[in-house]
Amino acid sequence: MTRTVLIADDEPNILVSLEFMLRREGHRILTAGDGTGALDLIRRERPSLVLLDATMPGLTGFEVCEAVRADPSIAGTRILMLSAKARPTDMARGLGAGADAYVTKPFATAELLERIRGLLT
Amino acid sequence: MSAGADRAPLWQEEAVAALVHELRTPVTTIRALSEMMMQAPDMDGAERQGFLSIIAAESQRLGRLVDEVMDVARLGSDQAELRREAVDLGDLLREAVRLASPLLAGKDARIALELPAGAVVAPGDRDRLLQVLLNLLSNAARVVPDGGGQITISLEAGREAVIRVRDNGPGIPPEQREAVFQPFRRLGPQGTRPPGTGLGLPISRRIVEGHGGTLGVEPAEGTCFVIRLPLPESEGSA
Repeated sequence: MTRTVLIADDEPNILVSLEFMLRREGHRILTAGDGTGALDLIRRERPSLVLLDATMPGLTGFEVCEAVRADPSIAGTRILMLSAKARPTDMARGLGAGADAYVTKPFATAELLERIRGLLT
Repeated sequence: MSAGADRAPLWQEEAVAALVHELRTPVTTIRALSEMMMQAPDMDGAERQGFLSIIAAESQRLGRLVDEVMDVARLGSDQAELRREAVDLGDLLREAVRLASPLLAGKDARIALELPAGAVVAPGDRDRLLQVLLNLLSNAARVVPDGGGQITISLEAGREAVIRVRDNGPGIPPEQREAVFQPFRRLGPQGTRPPGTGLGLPISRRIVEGHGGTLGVEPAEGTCFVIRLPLPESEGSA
């Protein structure tokens, strides 16, 4: 089933790889290179899932996550936070901000795909 | 001449965390793209070629990062010896402009050189000082507009030698003028991250400080980096 997935990351090459992976799954992909743009797209396009980088210009991924959860019209959006910040405190912060899952970079694509499929069911 | 054995280490916890972040990013891309290529043998040739180009570029980025980390480590250690030879600063600036000019290829921009009439000679490590100038010029080449882009590198000599590298790019906000010398604090417009490893300016400052000088940013339209180097008593305005 085709779903809309937003990928937000300020590293263009990571956007390219994730977009390729999720297009092959048959999803409609939106991309954003900063937190402010990501939040705008979530409000406008209502994606089923957001892959959200923690460290981005404008709003950080943590701030985007908190803003989504605080807005009743989009609070149900599934969020998978994808981050190079791998300390337990970073993970706790991401999950505390309301992320449904927190995956650290570099990730194994097969495992990431399993997490994504799980969040889209 | 020691490059600052008694100064505070560059590798504070925050910098180490930033380094790890910088390393993870290209590794993530290389791993993800190579795994996807293995999992998708049916992908078309152009897409495969695009992925390979990205993998090659990210591998080079990792290599540069490792080289610069080694440079920072050397410059922060007791073993970091800078040569002390007589460096003709005018010649050095000419060489820097010659080497940096290709960076503006394809861009409507120019580099101007302003030198005093006489020779200005300072004791120092020519290769390391050239490294600093090329770093400043390559940063300037990246930010000047395509169309009317202007970089000026100038030398003045009084009680000290003063080298300025000015550009007419977007400039650095006053509150970020010191932050650019912190490792991995790459600053671009609206908080974006420009290309580079984020170590060029911290390394450059270490080198200049190793010569007993300073490297900072002066208020200006665009950006103006200023290097001040001590001159021997007999040197000065020639």
